[in-house]
Amino acid sequence: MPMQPNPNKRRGEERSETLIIPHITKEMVETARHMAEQGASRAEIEAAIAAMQAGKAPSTAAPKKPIVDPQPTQPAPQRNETAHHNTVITPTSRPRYTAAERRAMLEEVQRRQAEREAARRAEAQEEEDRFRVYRDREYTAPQPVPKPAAPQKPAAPAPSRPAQAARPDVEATRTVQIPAAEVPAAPQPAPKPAAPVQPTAPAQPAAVPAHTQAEAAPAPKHTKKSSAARGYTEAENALNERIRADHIWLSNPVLVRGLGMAPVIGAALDGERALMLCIAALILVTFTRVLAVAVCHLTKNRFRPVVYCYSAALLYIPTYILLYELFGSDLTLLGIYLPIMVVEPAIVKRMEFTELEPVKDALRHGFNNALGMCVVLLIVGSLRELLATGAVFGNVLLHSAPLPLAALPAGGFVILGVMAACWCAAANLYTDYKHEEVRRLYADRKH
Amino acid sequence: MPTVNTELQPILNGVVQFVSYMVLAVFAENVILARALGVTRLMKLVPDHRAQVWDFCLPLLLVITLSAPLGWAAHNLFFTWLRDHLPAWLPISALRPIVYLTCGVAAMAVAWLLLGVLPRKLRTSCRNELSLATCSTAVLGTMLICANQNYTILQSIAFALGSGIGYVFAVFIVREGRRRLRSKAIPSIFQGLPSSMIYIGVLSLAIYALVGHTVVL
Repeated sequence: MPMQPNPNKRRGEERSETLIIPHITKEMVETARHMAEQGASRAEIEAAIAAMQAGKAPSTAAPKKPIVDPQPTQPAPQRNETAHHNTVITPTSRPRYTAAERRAMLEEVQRRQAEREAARRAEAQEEEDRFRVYRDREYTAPQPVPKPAAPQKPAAPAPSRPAQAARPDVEATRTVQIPAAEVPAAPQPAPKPAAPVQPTAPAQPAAVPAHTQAEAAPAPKHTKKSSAARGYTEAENALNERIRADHIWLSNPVLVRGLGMAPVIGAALDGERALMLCIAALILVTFTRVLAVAVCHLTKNRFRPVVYCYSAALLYIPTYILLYELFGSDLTLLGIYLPIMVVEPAIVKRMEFTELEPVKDALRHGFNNALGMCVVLLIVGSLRELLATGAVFGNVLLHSAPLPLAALPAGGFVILGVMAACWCAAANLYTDYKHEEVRRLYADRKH
Repeated sequence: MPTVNTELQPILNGVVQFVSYMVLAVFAENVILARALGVTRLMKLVPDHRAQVWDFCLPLLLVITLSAPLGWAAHNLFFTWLRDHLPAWLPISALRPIVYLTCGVAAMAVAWLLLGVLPRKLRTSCRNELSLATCSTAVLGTMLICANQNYTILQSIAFALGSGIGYVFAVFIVREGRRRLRSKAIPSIFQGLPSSMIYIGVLSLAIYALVGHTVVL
């Protein structure tokens, strides 16, 4: 690498400096010897030599002309020692702080900054907590239900459906759109919300040992992107599970899943018959599921079709007695549609599922299914009575029958089809909105 | 002019009666179109391309036919005997489902044996669907109709066989209609279950126009 010339060194210009070295002349030596012989002290001799060097000492000989003439020096201005010693400069713009005061002020400023930062973080954390609480409440998958100890085996003597059709009819006849998400075998636990940030004192950060940091923040096994995707998937699965679990509106057993149509079409011709069917369905659907699940727990989930049908048939006896006490001979208006409810798919549909649910869940699901069926029975019965006779529960609202066809099974099919279309359209709008909300909630969130 | 032996007259009358009841059950009192029995299973069979129609319909035909004489026996023999032994607070109608269900289960056992003559693949698939066919509203409903109408054993068998054939007939009709209902001209909210229901309603209305009266529930 070539050497760069020093830019401060100008070419052709050399600085000449005269080095004045005090030298001792022969005259000085003679003077010092002479003074020593006369008994002068060393200090006096040195002072005399210094005086001779300064040219102040009287010399007898003519002073020699120096080789290089020294530059004439300007005398320095005489200092006003009196003024310097008597004047005190006192700054008047701001008070002079000591180091301790300055340190205290710095700590105060840092403390206020830390407080503002902590307040901002707390506010952000509070908003984040509110968001997460809403999101987790709405879209967190339910906690995994402990599986019963009974092994899940298919019915031995009466072979059930193959395992590949775990939920055959539900998806086949479902009209409400539920994306075929990969539901995990075991539901993932709910994501643990982050611990709130504690306001710390940044002025004096505590020294955390290395091993403590490693324990506090373990190395994640997955990236943030993958965890975000997993959270979105869990939320989608939770939403789908909520849609499936909503047996009254979104997964109505009659209008969405197509179960229990025979009594709705054939027997729900007016409000009174619909009410009778409602009570029968409420008892049979709810308690048949509970009784059948309890018996299946005892039989280790074998003989499911027989267990479900005979449970419904046994429960039909007190149900019929109760209905006979309530409605008397009007019960014969239902014809064959009351006894065939013991094999109605809305009641015994569960026998096609290989997994055995707990009794508590069976009661809840059975009651929800019964409520959904009751809602449809009452709506269809009242509507068909209104269209066929112009009355609802015997109370005349219209003086003419708008559609006598509604009293026939053909009218029941058509009315139920139109109702299913409107119902499923509304349910699809709601589920689409919820799916879009999940997408928006998890779109720009990395946790 | 051809003459008929007088001894064959009851047999011919029986055959004619059998066929007429069977035809009645197939068309005029179709188990699906006139009474909406077994509609849920029909809705499952129609859109599912993997499910073979005969895997379900063959066991249903066997069970519904075999259960008819058992149901007749239960109605005319068992309930007659039982009526005298029941307490006053227990109406005999409350026991009808469990008795007829037992008849259906017995018919299922016989059908399980009869299905053994089928080829292995068809036999296995039919036996898989046998329990669902037994627990169908079409089977129990047919037995109850025969009991309510006080049919004879021959009429019960004919009506049950006709009901089974009518069920298969309705399955094929609705399946063909469902294939045509996939047109894009149909609004999206009507596609699937609603359009199938309306289609069955139109078919039911055609049956009603042919018969001219509603069936007895």
